[in-house]
Amino acid sequence: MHGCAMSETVDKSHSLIDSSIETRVVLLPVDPYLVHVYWEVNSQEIDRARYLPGDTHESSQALLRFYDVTNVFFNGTNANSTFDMKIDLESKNWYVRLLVPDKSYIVELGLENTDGSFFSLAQSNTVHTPRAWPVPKVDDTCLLVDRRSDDDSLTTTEVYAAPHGGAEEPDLQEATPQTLETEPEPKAESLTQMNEEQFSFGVSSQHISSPQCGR
Amino acid sequence: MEKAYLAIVLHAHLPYVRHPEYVDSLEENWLYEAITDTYIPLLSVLEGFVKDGIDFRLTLSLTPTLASMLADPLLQSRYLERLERMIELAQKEIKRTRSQPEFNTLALLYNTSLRQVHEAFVNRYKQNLLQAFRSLQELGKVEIMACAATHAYLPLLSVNRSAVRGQIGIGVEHYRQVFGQSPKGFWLPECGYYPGVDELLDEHGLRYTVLETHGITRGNPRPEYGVNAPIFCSSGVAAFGRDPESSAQVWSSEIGYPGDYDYREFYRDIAYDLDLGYIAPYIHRDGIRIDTGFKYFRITGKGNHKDAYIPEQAAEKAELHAEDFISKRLKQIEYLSPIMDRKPIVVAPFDAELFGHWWYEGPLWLDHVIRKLHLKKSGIRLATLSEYLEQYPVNQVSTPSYSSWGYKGFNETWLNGKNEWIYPCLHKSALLMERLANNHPQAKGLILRALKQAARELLLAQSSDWAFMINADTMAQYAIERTKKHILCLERLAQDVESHSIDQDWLSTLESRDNIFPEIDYRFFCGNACC
Repeated sequence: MHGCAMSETVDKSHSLIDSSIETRVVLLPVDPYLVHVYWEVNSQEIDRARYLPGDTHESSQALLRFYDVTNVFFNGTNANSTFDMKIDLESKNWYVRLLVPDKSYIVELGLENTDGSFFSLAQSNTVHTPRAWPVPKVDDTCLLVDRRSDDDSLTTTEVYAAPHGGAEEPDLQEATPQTLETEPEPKAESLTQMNEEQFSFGVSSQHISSPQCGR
Repeated sequence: MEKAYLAIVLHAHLPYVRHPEYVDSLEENWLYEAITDTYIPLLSVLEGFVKDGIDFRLTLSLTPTLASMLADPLLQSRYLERLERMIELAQKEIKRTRSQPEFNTLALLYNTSLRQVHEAFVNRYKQNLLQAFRSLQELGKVEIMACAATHAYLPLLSVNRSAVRGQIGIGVEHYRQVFGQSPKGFWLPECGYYPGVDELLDEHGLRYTVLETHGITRGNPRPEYGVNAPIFCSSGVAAFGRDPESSAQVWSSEIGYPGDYDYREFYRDIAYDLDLGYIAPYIHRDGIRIDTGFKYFRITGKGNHKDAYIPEQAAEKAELHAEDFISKRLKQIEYLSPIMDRKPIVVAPFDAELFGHWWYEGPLWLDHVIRKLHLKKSGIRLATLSEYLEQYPVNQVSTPSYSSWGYKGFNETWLNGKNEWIYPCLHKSALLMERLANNHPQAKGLILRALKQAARELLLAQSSDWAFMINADTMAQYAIERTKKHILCLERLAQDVESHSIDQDWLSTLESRDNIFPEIDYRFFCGNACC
C-alpha cells in the first residue's frame, strides 16, 4: 500500500494515527450509491477520548456517523436522518454503500463508548451524491435566461416561459400567465429520456484507451 | 439553409512528460507519436480546407501541458531527432520488404508520409505547432477551448476550493499567453463536473463548457431539449451535452467505425515482430520495444490472424463511414427539428489522439465528413460552440448533474482501491500551498521563485492522468512515482520557505526539470480570491 507522501519517509508505510497531524475526515462521492471516506487521527485526540468518564479507548468503537443534510443548513441536531457505520480506525478509509442517490451528507468520525456516548473526533466536508436518473418534471414553466455579449460585457435577462411552446425569442419575453399554463407537447419531453436511453448503452471513453495507456 | 448545427469538438491532451534528466525517455515518446500520427495530420486536414475554400468550424481543446510541450525547444529537438531516425528506418524497411510487395508498398507509404511530416515540422511550422493552431483560430475556423492547468480531475479536488481555482486560473492565464486572447470555452478534464465548478469558470469570464450526456439530462430542472440545446447554469455559464449517438459511432471499439476489419491494426508493430538486432536503433536505448509506427496489418477479425493492410480499401471504408455518419445525423435532425423551437445542435466530442494515432484513418474520415457536409448542402452546418450561443442567447436555466465521461459516468476511474491513496496526499498538498500563498502574498526574490516552483509541483501532482494510469495498470509505477515525486518536492519547498533556508542549487535543478508555466502566479492558490 502507499502511504500519504506528505512525509520524507514517503516510501515507508506510516500510520495515519499520529501525534503531529491534525485530525480530519474527508468524504468523497464515487457514484450515486457509493461514497469514500478517509481519515487521519491525532493520537492525542484518542487519548482525550480514553479519559472520558467510565470508559477506555480499548473498549470504545470507532464510528462513522452519517448525517443526511439534504436541503438542511446543518447545526448538529437538525439532520433529516442519521446512521452509523462501525469501522476499524487503523483502516484509514472506508467505502460506504448508500440506498438513495441525490442526497447531501456530512460524516462525523468518532468513538462510541460502552455507555452509548459519542465522542466526535472530526466532521467532514458536505457532499451531495450524484443523481442516478433524470429529475421528475414538476412544473410546466421553465426559467430561461437571455445572456449575450454587449461590447466587452455580458448582459443577463431572466425570462419565464412555457416549455416546448415553439415560441420565438420575442414571444418568450412577453410570456403571460396564460401562456405559462400551456400544455407541453408530450413528444418533446421524451428528448431527455431518449438521450438517457442512448447513453445507458454505456458509451464512455473507457472503451478506447487514452494514448498514454495503450501499452 | 441549415436545419441544425454539428459541433465537432476534439480534446487534445497529454500529461507533462518532459524528462531532460534522461537521454531517452519512454514517456516522451507519447508526445512524439502523437505529433507524427495526430497533430500534424490534423493540421494538414484543416489547412487543406482553408486552401480549398471549404468553410468549416471545429472546436478544439489543447491542454496547457500539451501546449507547453509543443513549445519546448528540448522536446522539439528530440522529436526531430526521433523523426529522422524513423525516416532512416523507412529506408531500411523498403529494402527489407523488397520481396514482399504487400509490405513494401506500405514501407514506401510510411517513407512518404514521414518525409511530409518532416517537411511540415521543420519548414512550415518551424518546429512549433502552436502557431499553426493559433492561426486557424485567428481565421475564425477553429475555436480553441482552455483547460485546467495540468488536466486535474476537478470533482475530486473540490474539497479545497483554492486547488480548483488554481487549476482553472492558471490554465486560463496560460491560454492567454499562448493564444493571445481570452478563451470563451473551458474543457473540464474528463468532462468532470460538480455543481459549483461553473462559478469558478464564471470568475474567469468563461462562457461555456461541455458535459457528458447525463450531466445535462439529469439537470435540475429537467432540460427540455436534452443534449440538443445548451443550458445555463445558475452562474450563467452554458453547458453543452455530449450527443450519445454520434459518440457511439466513433468512440465505441466494438460498434464504432475504428474497429472495422479494413482499418489498420494498431497493436501489430514491427517493433515487436522483428529481431532485436535489426530494430534496436529504433526502440528504447535499453532494448525496451516501443512502437515504431510501422504497422503492416489490418484489423481483419478478432483472432490473432491478421491480413496485410490495404490502404486503398481502408480509404474507401473511411469515405463510406463518413457518409454513414452524415446520414445518421440527418435522421437525427429529421426527428428533432419539428419538436424544437430552434435549430438543434449535435455536440460530438472526441479525444483528438483517437484520430491518426489509435484510428489511423481518423483524419481521412474527418476530412470526408467536413468536405461532404460542405458540398452536399445537407442542411447540417458546422458550428463552434460559442457561435451557437451567439445564435441562441436565450436558454433554459438548470443545474447540471454531477458527472464525468469515465467508466460508469462518475468518479470510479479516478477513485478506487488502486488509486485512493493519492487523495489524502493531494488534499493536504493543496492546503499546504494555500497556506504558503496566504502567508506570502507579495513574495519577492528567492521566496518568489520557491513559491512559483511549489505551485508547479502541486499542479504536476494533480494531473488526472496519474490516477487513470494507476487504475488501468498501464505505466502505473511511473504514475505512482510522478505523484509522489511532485508532492515531496512541494513539501520540501514549503519547509525551506517556512524555515527561511531555501536551497538555491536544488531549486534551480527543479526549475529546469519541472519547467512548466514559467510565468505562473502562485497567488491563484490563496484561500480567498482577493489575495
